[in-house]
Amino acid sequence: MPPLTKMHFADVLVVPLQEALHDTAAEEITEEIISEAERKNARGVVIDISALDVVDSFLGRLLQETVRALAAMGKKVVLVGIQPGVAITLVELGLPLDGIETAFNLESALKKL
Amino acid sequence: MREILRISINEEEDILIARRMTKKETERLGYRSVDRTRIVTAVSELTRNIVHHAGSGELIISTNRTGIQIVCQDHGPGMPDVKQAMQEGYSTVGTLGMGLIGAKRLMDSFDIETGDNGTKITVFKKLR
Amino acid sequence: MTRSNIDYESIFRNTPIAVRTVSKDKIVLASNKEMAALSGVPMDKAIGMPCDEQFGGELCETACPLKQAIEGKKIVLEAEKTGANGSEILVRMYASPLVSNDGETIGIIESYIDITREHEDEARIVSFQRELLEVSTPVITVWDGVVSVPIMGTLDSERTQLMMENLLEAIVDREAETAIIDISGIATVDSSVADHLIRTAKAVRLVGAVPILTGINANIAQTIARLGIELEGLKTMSTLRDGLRYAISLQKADQ
Repeated sequence: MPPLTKMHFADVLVVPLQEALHDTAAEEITEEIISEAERKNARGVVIDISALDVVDSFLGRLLQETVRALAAMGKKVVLVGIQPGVAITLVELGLPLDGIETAFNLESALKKL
Repeated sequence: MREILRISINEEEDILIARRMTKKETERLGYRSVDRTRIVTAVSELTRNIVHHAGSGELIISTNRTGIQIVCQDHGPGMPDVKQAMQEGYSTVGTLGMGLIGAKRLMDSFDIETGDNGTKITVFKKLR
Repeated sequence: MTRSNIDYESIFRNTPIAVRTVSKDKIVLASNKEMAALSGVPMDKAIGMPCDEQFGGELCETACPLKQAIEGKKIVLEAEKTGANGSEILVRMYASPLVSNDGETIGIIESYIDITREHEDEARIVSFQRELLEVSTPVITVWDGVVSVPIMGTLDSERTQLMMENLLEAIVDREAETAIIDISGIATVDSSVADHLIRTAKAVRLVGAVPILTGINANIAQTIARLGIELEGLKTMSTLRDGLRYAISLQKADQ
């Protein structure tokens, strides 16, 4: 699995995703996010995708599933840093990520949790 | 149409290479940022299909003054239910249909030819 | 007038299109005046030169059309070449087989037209069109953290896309929490317009802002109800003022 930065602010886990993940790596990373959130008993998780300028349907659905899994574990999730181009393509791909909380930077994301 | 680039697509790494090269080409051609994202995303969808459903294939990028054309040719078994795969309601169709529909929505034109020797998908995006 | 009276040699030399003939081994056999001007290499000097040395570009390495042209394939391409004074020019190139008097294909005939200027003009038109579209859908900051975009006239696919892109970039750049999309200036509302608006609202939510639709007058409201258009939880108001008041109340609620 490629290196994953995990930051903890009080009981909130913050994970920035790096550019250019291929499918297997992306799956490993999202599994790791879920495990870490459980391990550290995080109340909330912030997934930062501001470094991604392309999010395709695979990653889009993977993010959706990850958020659902975390929600099922009772954890609040906020997705941060969706670039305008990414937002538009996700909507055009039919993946508007309904019901998923979003914020444009870390500060407002932490406020929402 | 002038062919600029041909990339062999066999494994996941190649999807990333295809994305990177497509990104460079669209920057060179002067597409706006959002259209660049659309085109690279479409390439990601199509090359993923090649890797996960056909096994191997090729991505060919060509351009003319009006825009960029991307052809994905795979050497897979073909898609007997293309019409079905392209219909909405992806839950029954799985990732293959999703990828094709996605690519179709993001680009200005979408053409698909499929048979026993493989599938050829041609997409085009106008330069605006 | 018989064929033998016509000086074809002179026509070749003087035609205003750059023409040269190249052998199978990529050596220049003949080159006309216009070709000399385009390439910067005098006519007689060009003879015997490798073709990419007289007039070459990136295409020579990656996809030289010589072989295909010799086989008879019709070649029409656009390529970047290095012209006189080392300048980068864009040319349209035509290539066809060169056949000797004995009927043997001994090389190719290449013709070039300089389209650099044409290309630049087109690029200028595209950029002008973009500016025009941008000016017609400006994004205004109406309050701290609140942006608004007034939509006028018709909302076709092209304009919606541009409006959406401008709006999203403005939201991110100005760190806006709310985006008011005012449609009081729209000509008609039908299901495709509604589609565009809903898609825009979803994209606004994704970048982390709250979308508000204003300018819904009685007419539009009735059309929406009649067409059974689902606005899917999108907050709507009849005036921009109401929308702004609501946006500010949201901010207060956050504090």
